[in-house]
Amino acid sequence: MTFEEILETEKKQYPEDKRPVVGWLCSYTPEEIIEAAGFRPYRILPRSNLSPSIDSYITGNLCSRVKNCLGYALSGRYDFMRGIVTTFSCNALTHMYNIWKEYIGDIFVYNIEIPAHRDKEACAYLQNELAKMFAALADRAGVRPDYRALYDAVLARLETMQLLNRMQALRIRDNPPLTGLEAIKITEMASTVPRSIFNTALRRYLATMEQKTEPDRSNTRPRILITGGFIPRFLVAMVEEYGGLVVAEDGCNGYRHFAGIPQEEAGGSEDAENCTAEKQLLQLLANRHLKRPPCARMHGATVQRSQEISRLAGQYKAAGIIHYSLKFCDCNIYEFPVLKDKAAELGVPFLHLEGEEHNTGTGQLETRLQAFLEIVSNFP
Amino acid sequence: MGLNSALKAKFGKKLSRGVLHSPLTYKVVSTLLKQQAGNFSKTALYQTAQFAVKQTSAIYTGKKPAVWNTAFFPNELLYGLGLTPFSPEVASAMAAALDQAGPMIDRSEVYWTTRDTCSFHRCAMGLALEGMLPAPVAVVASSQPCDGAPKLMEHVARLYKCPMFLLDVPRSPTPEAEEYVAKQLEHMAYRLAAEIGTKPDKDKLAEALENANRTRRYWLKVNELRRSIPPCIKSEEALGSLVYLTFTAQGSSEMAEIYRLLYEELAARAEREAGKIRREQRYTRLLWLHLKPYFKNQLFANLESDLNATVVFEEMSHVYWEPLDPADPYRSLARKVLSYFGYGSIERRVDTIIHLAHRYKADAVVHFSHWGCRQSSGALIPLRDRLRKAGLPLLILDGDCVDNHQLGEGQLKTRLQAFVEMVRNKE
Repeated sequence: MTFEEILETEKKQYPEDKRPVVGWLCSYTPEEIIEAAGFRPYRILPRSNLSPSIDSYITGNLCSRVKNCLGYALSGRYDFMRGIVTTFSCNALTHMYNIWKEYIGDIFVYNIEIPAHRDKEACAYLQNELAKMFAALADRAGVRPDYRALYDAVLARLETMQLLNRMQALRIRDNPPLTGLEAIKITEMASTVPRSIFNTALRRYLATMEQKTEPDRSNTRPRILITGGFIPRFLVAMVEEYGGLVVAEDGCNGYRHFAGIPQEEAGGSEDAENCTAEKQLLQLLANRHLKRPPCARMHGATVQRSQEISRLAGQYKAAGIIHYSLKFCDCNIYEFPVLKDKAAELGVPFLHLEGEEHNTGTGQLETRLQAFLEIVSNFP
Repeated sequence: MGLNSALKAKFGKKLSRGVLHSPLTYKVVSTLLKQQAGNFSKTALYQTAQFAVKQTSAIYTGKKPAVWNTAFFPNELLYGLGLTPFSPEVASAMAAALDQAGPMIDRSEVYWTTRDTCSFHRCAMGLALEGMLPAPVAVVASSQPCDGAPKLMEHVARLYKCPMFLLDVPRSPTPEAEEYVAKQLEHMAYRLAAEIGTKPDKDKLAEALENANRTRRYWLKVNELRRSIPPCIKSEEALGSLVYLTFTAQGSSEMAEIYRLLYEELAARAEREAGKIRREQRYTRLLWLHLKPYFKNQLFANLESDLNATVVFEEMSHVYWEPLDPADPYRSLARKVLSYFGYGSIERRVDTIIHLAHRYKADAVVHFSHWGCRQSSGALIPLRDRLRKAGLPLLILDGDCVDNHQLGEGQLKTRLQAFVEMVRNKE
């Protein structure tokens, strides 16, 4: 059974989720707080590029991810949401907040600051931001912040992280039992499907997949690591269509969103279980966000990200690395020469691509990708 | 012959690492400046140019330790530590003025490949890669206002193998944000001082803040005089020499002195003009947002000569912060950076622009949209709609401050002309 089929059967077992939906975008958004305040967190992931009409609301030189999100919202496709949580994590998201507040009425918009540092002071600052967010969202829901509910949400998401890490472990195998496209779909669903249904479905799926023995003939497709900010599904599909196998997506909608479970939480989750005190819970959340593999917008991320791709390329036995940056995403575009140097140091072919959140079908990207996969296939 | 033309004639295509690092260059430039002194519309602007030459000379010839900064970093901290700020973004503007930006941008595109990022940064990276800039002892960057500048500095630090310090400025000015920024500034002061083998000196830091306060007092007086009709400072001057001071000299005694001189010159001129009955030509009064093109162009000149319009004030010239407290430097500087209105929620920028438009009796507003600048341009549509409600038309003028290939001057002129006519017909 595919994951989607398992998910469909699981959905039937659960009563309809009637909690009001709160959308979110940035990977640094603490979903647990949205959940604990009584809302259903839902990551905004538009499925297509939008018509140029969005340009009458936003200037041309911002990334397509932000434009598509706004376009979907303006076209009424997010009318089912009660609110949205945005982050001031980059210029594009800051302006998305400004435009959303201005033109998309009837839903509340809450914004949190995400520090760029990751030290003790930054953690304390973020902790305070999280406390304010919890109070504001609970107020919206007409309840008092319930830290027991937050504790449950933290544990439930921790389970999601652990399950997705188990799924990632399957991809390290010489013959991964799932494709990159399947993996990124599952990872994205972890942010849109209600948590309990998702966790149950993934548990069932992994129980089957982990039992799968490797086929006799080993995989001959070149193993590709994709790194960047937001990794588009179409890119993963295209790499695999042209003969590659995507083994890891180091992006904010890929492995990175669920990576970096602090050492003390991995394994037994004792730390989370001990964290019932309000302050400790928020500290744990702040730490979890700041200590995980960083987005390119974090201070010192370029160096750390180059070390991370080195680790991932080794762990996943990547034969090629693709760096994908959304057009106009300065944070990702600026870091590319450093990552390229790291790939050269590792002796792994590297391709930098710039594009949109969804395929624009220009053909140039396909040609470059095909040429790259040929190089990787013939690389000694 | 203007100063830029004289510099181009003297150095032109010969601008090289050797020329830039030679003490002789600055003697020649200083002499050229003296010869051109009479061409400056104000003595304060001449003094600004001499200060820039002195400062640049000291950095290039290694007499003063340079710390590269980004726009909106509180330079008072650097002056308080005896360090000299060097702005690679200003260097890009200078390269554009001397018609040297093109090859540098091309050089950086070999490194970065994309033309969609800020040309201030691309040009600066090209200059750095070509060894045209002075080696820094450290680089400092502010996360305010854009994502690109700190990322540029990561590359600079890597290139020069020097430490980089980031001032992470939240977009909401809360007490917690103030605490967070103040602590960063204090840590940074100790770490920067350690780079040059010293410790932060409380008195020196206080002196830098006092200099900044003195500057602020005269700057406010200058801004008060700029309400006069016709304007007493040309926008090209405000966005040229004076913006150099804004981004490199706050906290220096020289900037305070230059602003004192500027105020006194303008005040004396205002006194001379007082009581004179002048037949005023009616100009359309514009408030200018963001920066301007720094390469040779006729944009502002055309405004006055052909379009009967004039820029009466710029958002870059607005003094938005409260006086600093020399006894509490870090917290005080934190408050200053957090009070910047052009960062975060658009409401603060809208309110400021409406306030400035009323204060300087602007008929309309022009935003020069520098290609590659996400922070200033990102929320222009809500800005335009809010200003429209306040009765202020906004023109979004797409162009580039450094890369002259991105500026179709004729097209810009046509758009400005149509806009000014529209504003005039509305009156």
